[in-house]
Amino acid sequence: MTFLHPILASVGLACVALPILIHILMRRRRRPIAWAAMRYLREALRRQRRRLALEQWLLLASRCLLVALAALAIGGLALGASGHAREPSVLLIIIIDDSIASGARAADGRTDLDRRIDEAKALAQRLSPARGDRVGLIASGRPARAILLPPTGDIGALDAALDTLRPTSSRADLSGAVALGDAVEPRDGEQRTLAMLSGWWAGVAPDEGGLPRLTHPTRILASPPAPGLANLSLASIEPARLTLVTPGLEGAPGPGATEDVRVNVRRGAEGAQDAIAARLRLSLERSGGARPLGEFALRLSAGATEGSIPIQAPLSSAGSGGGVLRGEIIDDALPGDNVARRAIDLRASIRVGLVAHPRAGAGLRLEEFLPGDWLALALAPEPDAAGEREIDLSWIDPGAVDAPRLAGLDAVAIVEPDLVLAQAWTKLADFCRAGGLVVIFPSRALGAQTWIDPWRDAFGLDWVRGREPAELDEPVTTPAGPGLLELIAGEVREVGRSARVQRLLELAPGEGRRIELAAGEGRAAVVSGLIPGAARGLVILAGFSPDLEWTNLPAKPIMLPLMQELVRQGVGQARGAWRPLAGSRVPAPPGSRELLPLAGAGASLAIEADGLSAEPVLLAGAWRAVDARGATTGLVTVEPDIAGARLDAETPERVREWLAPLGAEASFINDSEGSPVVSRGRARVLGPVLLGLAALAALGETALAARSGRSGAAGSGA
Amino acid sequence: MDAERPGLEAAASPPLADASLYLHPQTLARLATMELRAKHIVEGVQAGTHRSPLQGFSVEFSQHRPYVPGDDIRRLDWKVYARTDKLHLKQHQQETTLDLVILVDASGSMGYGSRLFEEASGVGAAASPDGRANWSKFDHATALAAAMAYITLKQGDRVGLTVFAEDVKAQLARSSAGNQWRLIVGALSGRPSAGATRLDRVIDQALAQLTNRCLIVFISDFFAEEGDLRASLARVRHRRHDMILFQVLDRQELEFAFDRPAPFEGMEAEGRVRIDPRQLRQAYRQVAEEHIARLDKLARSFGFDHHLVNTHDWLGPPLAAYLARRNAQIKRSKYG
Repeated sequence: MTFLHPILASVGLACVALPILIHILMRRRRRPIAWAAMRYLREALRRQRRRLALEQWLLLASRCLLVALAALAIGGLALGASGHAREPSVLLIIIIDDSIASGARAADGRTDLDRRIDEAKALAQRLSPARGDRVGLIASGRPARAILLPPTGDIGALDAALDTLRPTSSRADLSGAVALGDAVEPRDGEQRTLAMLSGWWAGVAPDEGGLPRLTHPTRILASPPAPGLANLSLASIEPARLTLVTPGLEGAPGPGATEDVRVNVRRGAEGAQDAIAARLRLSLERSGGARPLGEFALRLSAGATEGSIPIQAPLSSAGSGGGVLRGEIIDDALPGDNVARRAIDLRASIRVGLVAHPRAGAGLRLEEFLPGDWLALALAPEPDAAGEREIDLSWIDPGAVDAPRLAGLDAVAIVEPDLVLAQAWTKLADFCRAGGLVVIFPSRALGAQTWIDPWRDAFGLDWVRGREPAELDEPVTTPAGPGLLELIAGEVREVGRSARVQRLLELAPGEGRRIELAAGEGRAAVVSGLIPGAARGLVILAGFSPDLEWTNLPAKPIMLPLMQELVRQGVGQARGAWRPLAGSRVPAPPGSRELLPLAGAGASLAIEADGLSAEPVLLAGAWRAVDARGATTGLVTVEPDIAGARLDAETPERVREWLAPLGAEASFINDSEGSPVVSRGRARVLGPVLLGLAALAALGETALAARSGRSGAAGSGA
Repeated sequence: MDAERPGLEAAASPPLADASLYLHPQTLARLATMELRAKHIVEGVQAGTHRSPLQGFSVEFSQHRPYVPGDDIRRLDWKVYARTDKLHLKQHQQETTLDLVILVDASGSMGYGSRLFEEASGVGAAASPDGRANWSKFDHATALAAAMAYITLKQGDRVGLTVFAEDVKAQLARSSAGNQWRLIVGALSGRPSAGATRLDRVIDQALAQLTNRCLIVFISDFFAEEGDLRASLARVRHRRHDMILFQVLDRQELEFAFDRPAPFEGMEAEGRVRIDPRQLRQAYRQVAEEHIARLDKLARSFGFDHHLVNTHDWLGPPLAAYLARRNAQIKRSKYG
């Protein structure tokens, strides 16, 4: 037997003794009446003894019952003792969807999470803590989190926990949430109910592995699927160059200076039959705040579910230094997927170290040019009118490559690798891992390339199959797809036809490397990739030496943009792009100890020894990674997981299929089967029922008392 | 006088024989005109108003006497009426005197009374001489006995008295002397004892004192064993005495009108019972009615009269009505 107010019930039940006590006290207090006609009295008593005893007991019982029923009603009796076995206490585990989709706003302006919170509170109101009911709360936004576990009988605590929930930027983690809920074992005789509250859009679908099977008998309740909503997601925002070099401007952009930015958007099937026009607000986030860069129109034609929309953004006007380019779709059904970020680097020049013997003097004839000369010419042509160079080139003796010389460089280009000492390769590998770009060309010597082994040992890369170049005669070209030369791919194909490669080291294709330039059809001429295990840095390996014995490319006009693009893009990429999706522990640049919110809002995140944040990041945003000394080590942008933002409606049957692996058939909350989730409703009914019974007991008591009085008054006088 | 009522608890003072306390003047005035007639022929030792059972003895006209209501008009002397314009009866035969023996129950149960003494005594006394504020059944029996004795003595008949409980408590020999009434009242002015009634023993003792046929007036609440009473009445009938049974009960004993649960304790050491009177009232009344009816039937079975007296009623009107009815019955009989 359980009560909403056990103390009141106890006091009330103790009051059952009052009628008995009063009865005894009244017997003791009354003075005896001297009576003569005891014969009559005893005879009458003998005749009526059985009836009188019965009536007295009934009267006393009715009075005790009256008090007891009133006490039970006041005490909030939820179940009788016999009913306890029929209706056990309930362990209600609420899995509420606070994934990115839960931020979807309906026409009334309320988010889906608001509705699920209302559902959860309504369910909790049916619980009877006095009966031993307990409730736990799990949020299913990735990663699934125990908000209120172990379960508690305190409904107020649940309400308070629900009020703290906000939509995350991550997708739903139903499997993790179910696993958390399944780990809560019911007590003996406790009935476990799993209430899964979600809008059940397409983006909420379980992972490919499906949901785990529950280990205990569990009743499954689910919200009914919500109607689909038209939603436009900002998949990414991609500046053409991550490193922008604006020599001499230093925050004073020239009029009309813009950069290409590609805006990738996506939408679900809901509303895809209509063309859509939206506005994009672009800004640059820095430690000092956000600088607006303007608003742009986005259009998707009817029937299109995704699009890549180019815009011209005045990025050069943002000044120098690092920042995060932030794009936001204005006024959309789901705010969580309207924002995308991309870290960019704005600087006056790129510092490149050229590892080659410096040539004294100028005025060399073309046939006297060595690979270093060609590369220096390509990277650092004549200064512009202001005397500024976009690439600040310095020469490094191949035999003197060491850490001090590498410090402060963005990139190192090696054209005489055979002269680099073995330990220097290790320094170069460290430089690369620290975010530097290392570009390696083979030695112009036509014999065996002796540098390959020490390079491979230091960098851990096995990209070269032979040690001697192969003879061929193929034009250079760029493969399809993204790459460092993507922006000039068209020019390369047009202008580069005349550039041919006669000698080429055989570069092995494989995982982790990308062909940036090809010779002929599919023969890798330049590949790029990361050192194994590194999170940043970039290695570009060319299969040819920039020497006319190997290729005529140095003498072709394409040489300059080709090398410039490789270095610029390579430097931007080598600095590292930390763009994890929300819902996981985020990686930080090596050496980072803390992530500070870039725009000043939000909490700082500690970085663990494994290079990941101590806690999963649930909300998209931008952070500045700092090392132990507080120096910036990079920018980290956490992106919303737009895979969970698909708001296409799903059918109840489809949702049942999703939930089927749990091992129990799910009932939707507004189904007739959904109502017996818990028995708080019965507890509400018991109060009036008990009061009604108490009223009946009072009537019975009155009738019995009246009968007692009437039985004496009805007789005629002697 | 005190020696004649042994065991009767006497009050110290004032003098016990204050007849005015027990007999309302109105009662006496009402009863003064009545004659107490025995339903059966009573053998008296003195000539009186009662017809003698002895045949041929002084059957000639003896005297006239004034007519009183209830007399048989066939015995009116119309000649005297014509001469004097007054109604007189001719008495043709010898009439014996009436010996009236009054038995008064003074057992513990007779001490019960729910009526205020002040209201019942008729003279404004707030309490009895012994300090009681209630008018007990014994008080009422005393008044009844005094009334009966008064009537009898006024007729010139002899009256004797026996007060009893378990045993005879006081006894007065039959006499028609002038102070007999005051002696009777004095003998009745005690208090009931705490014991129960032993009817058989008392009747035997009383009958042993009677050598001639008498009218016995038995005043009690008759809370006794019916078997004992039946045997006693049988002996009275066997000795050819006449008897009137006055059953004196308090109104509460008839109606049982208590309205609160209480313990009831017997006045004759019968123990205590805890009851709710409201629950038991109906059954109680039924038992009382049955007992009264059985007593009445028992008395009639021996040819005796049974009369129920409620202590809350005035003694005079019902007694007068009873005596008138009794005289009418006698006159309708062959001896009347």
